Amino acid sequence: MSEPVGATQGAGRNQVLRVRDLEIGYSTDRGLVRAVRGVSFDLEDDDSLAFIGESGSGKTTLGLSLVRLLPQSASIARGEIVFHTASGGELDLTDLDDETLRRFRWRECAMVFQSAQNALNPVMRIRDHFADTARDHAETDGVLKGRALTERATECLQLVQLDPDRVLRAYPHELSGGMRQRVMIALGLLLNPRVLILDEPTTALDVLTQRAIIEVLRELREGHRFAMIFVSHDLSLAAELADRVATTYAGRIVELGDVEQVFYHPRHPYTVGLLDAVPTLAGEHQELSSIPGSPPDLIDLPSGCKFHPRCPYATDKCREEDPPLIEVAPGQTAACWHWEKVGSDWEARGGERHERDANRA
Amino acid sequence: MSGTPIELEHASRFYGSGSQQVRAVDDVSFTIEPGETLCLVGESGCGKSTTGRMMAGLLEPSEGRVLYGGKDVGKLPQEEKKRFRRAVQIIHQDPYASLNPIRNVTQILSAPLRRHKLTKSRSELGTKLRELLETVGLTPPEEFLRKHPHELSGGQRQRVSVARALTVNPEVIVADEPVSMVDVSLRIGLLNMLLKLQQDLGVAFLFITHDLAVAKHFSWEGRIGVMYLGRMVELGSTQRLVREPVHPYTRALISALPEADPELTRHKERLRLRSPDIPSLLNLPAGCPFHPRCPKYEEGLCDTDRPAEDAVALDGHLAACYVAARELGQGDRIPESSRTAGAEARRRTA
Ligand SMILES: Nc1ncnc2c1ncn2[C@@H]1O[C@H](COP(=O)(O)OP(=O)(O)OP(=O)(O)O)[C@@H](O)[C@H]1O
Ligand SMILES: Nc1ncnc2c1ncn2[C@@H]1O[C@H](COP(=O)(O)OP(=O)(O)O)[C@@H](O)[C@H]1O
Ligand code: SF4
Ligand SMILES: [Mg+2]
Ligand SMILES: [Mg+2]
Repeated sequence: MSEPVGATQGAGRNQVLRVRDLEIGYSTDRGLVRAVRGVSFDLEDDDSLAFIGESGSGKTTLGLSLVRLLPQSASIARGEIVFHTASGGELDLTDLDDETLRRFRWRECAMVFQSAQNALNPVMRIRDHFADTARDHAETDGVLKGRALTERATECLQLVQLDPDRVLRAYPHELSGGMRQRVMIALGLLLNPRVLILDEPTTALDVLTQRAIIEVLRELREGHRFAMIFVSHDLSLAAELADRVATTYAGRIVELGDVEQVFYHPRHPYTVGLLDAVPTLAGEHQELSSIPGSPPDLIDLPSGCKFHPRCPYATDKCREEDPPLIEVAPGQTAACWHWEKVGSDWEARGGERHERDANRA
Repeated sequence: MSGTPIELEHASRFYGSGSQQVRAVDDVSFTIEPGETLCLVGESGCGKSTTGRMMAGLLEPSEGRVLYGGKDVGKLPQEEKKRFRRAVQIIHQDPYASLNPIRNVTQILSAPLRRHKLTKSRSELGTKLRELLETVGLTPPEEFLRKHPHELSGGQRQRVSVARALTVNPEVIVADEPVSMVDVSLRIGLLNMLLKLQQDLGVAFLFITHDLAVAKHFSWEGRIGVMYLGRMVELGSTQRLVREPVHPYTRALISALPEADPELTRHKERLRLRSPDIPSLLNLPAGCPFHPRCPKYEEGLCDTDRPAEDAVALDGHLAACYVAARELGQGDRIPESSRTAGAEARRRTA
């Protein structure tokens, strides 16, 4: 497995997370579901990284593994998840005892779950959700409580632009979906984590509410030094908020690069397929095409490159050998044998695309 | 396919009773012409599905009428009512819920063909089934005939729902969020298939979606209607509505929409709403229902009378906003009461 790019540390930036060759499976009646396969990446302390890909590609599983909240049926078969803690130490999440884990969670890394809006306990006021989170995850000696807790909760709610007086007293059903989603983000911020993972934070919300959440996240990113990982099937969320984008397919990263590289100079046919399949509102009518076929069964994966049954570039080599991540440009990697051809085809029609982009303004 | 226009005429639908009664759809009028595409967009709960269900004859309007070829659907004689029921078919958002899990594709599709006696022999049935599956892009048909819904992907299931709707040769398909539960990579394939039906078979569509970009793609040659809190606030040709939206709510939606293009979406002009919260249908604001959030709000003018849906009328493009009416030189369409209240408010603050 090659070292992912971006592993070198820039001045003033510190690495917070290093994931190497991570392999996670679910055991089911039908067999082993290979949900995450050989994932490697690095995260700096002010980075925002988006994982995009269709449903079932393993995004949520990856997120859950980073806070060690995988369900019973899941197991980490291989790999390492190393956090560089605030105090300068290293923690390998794949072998932590429960006590260390409990302390680690939410202080180092917090997660806002998919369909978070329904994750709040309906019979508990929002205030009690904050108290619970503080109790469950803080160190036994320094539990956040009483006045200090209220102050911190107030601060977090203000950060997500909610009125703390009203919201702390409210029950979840008294809040709209967008407000509940913001409460979940505030809960994630409670213990000042260095990494915040957001799983589909805007999915199932209305456009105006999505916009409010995106602006909240943007301001958080600009004002605070912590890293964010977004996990979504929605390309526009990555376009809005990510510094770097990882395209995932069948449990694996197939392309990783800066947001401009991935959106404007993709080198993997799956990234190209996704970009061609998403309509934009700006500009003229576009010819859009879908990716033929459907995502593979993770229990019974195809040979060679897992994308080959749907890929317009597939050759015999693709059917036989799974391509590694290859450096295709400084800071960008793609797992495709034919990335050069994919790239030159894209750039050849790119002239049109960029002209169109320019005309949109 | 024969062409009969279907019209909603001042149609409203109320739910609940007494102080809990809400007007889920309030005084909405539009016509679907043969072969036409109209997209309904708007936030969750604004009344899109309720409108679609009224158009498909699945819900009766509480007030107003549905007209089929100019005749009140509620008063059609038995035979014609049957024809109307067949002419308008509905496709739901969730293909899991709408297909019977214990039936295979052959059984799902032959039931309506038999019920309406549309095929005479076994071999004719076989040919028809194959034709239907090919039309919706499930090829080769043999591969799908024996499959049950759980053996199909979301996109394939939705194609089966479409094939089922097509069995009775409908004139209009009401498609309620048909792609929102389907994977991104498969969405466009489904949309393009529906577009082809419209082009090849001349089926008209009432297409419901919360995604304006999808609406633009699907009805580029058609129209879009924007709903807000049960009302139609803007209705016009897609190209004009997307390029030159008139109603402040439509503008807000367009400016808020995140786009899958980093440069574009990060530099888009944003409209700031005065409030992020959508009012409850139980407690609607006076005047324009959008006024508490509207960046263009003017005291008196906006919170006195509810703007008529044709407060702005430009070559068939309609919008329910008095501020826009004044700005577009149609101030004469503003009622006296709102004009006076607006003038008074301005005098007070001056
Ligand atoms: N059977 C019902 N009984 C009571 N209220 C209802 C019923 N069906 C819908 N409503 C209410 O009517 C309003 C409009 O609902 P409708 O389903 O038409 O909205 P929609 O625009 O389709 O929303 P979505 O985008 O969430 O599907 C909502 O406030 C809803 O709660
Ligand atoms: N608890 C579970 N038991 C068995 N399989 C699971 C479980 N959770 C997820 N999976 C499977 O793992 C794969 C990846 O799922 P997930 O991580 O949720 O993907 P995504 O978030 O990208 O949609 C899918 O094939 C899914 O069906
Ligand atoms: S390796 Fe081959 S099959 Fe895989 S994405 Fe590249 S061209 Fe397609
Ligand atoms: Mg997920
Ligand atoms: Mg609906």
